Amino acid sequence: MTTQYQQRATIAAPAAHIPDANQLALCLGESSADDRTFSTASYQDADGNLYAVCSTVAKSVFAQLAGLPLQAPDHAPGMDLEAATRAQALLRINGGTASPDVIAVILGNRLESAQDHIAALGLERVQQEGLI
Amino acid sequence: MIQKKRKQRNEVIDKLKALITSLFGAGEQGAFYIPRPIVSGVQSLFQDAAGTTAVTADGDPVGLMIDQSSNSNNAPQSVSALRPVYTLANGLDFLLFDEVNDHLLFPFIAGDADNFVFSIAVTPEVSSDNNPRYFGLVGTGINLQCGYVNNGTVFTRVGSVAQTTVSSITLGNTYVISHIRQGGVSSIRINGTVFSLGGSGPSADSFFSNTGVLGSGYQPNKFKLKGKIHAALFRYGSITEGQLSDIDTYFASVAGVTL
Repeated sequence: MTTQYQQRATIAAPAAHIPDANQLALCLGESSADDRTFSTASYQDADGNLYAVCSTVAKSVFAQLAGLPLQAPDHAPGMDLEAATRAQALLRINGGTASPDVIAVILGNRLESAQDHIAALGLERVQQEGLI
Repeated sequence: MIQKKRKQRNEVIDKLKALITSLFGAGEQGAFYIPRPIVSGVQSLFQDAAGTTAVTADGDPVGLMIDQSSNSNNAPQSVSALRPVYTLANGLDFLLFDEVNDHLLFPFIAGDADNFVFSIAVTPEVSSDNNPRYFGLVGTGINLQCGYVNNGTVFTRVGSVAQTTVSSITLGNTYVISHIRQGGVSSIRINGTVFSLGGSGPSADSFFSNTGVLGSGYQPNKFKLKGKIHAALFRYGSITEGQLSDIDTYFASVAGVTL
């Protein structure tokens, strides 16, 4: 048996675009809870701009679906299609490092690591309190 | 050959059933997770939180892991991108957590904070996150967190008090670790070796009904695990040396650990 999830997608949503990015995730995802894909902006680029990052295995149709006109899926018929379309317009797949005016995606083989993708996006984690 | 494999498989199932009966047979509250698609002949991993699409292959995301105890404390993840990945490598089954956002949630029943054990077969890796947890509680009240530091220290935090071992693990290796609290006295058991932590922390108190987290801390956006989970259990109540030894033996067998 071979998995259908042959790719890994790591996505950086600029802090200002998190709500729209969550609507796009809801539209392209598989669950009615996917509007909670992006939460805290806990990564930053070299200029200190903040991003919420997710990394997940994805089906091979991901890139194709991301480029097609969006439709509300069965699992979220009342979703905000306008917001999702705004986010879709910002998508840039395998186009380099993250920046505040795009939603940058690194799409690679499923065995690639999320950390390598995040490095390719030019991001690092914002250091948090060191509480044990 | 087929008969030999079938016999080996049946022996493993028998050992698992015996361990679950020993730990939970008297109605003890808790949960027991084995990240394998089929456990004792029953589908136990699903791609979605509702449990409609089975995990069948290496690389499938896991949206629901079934509790093997009789408590039905199943562990779902409803957000697609936050699901760990089921992996089968070198004959071993495990969940792979990516350190970015993967975790599973499960109902955590209120109980005695002075008498519990949390056990895990885990391969912790060096993380860019501070002090990752492989187990935690979300919510209010006294919380419980179990995790490690990049220097190899393992810790248990109960409420506001964290108790740590000395540097005791090498990140990237696999361990069977039990975080134990009995009669208000804490210890951490790593591959059968006990590190006594003493009696600090809240005493004669209770955990509230909360949400448990596998693969992260009390806030799922913080303290995220980078590594593999081969098995995990939580159980309230007193526990014997024999039961702890049985946990070590079974968890070691599913994680490829030599005790």
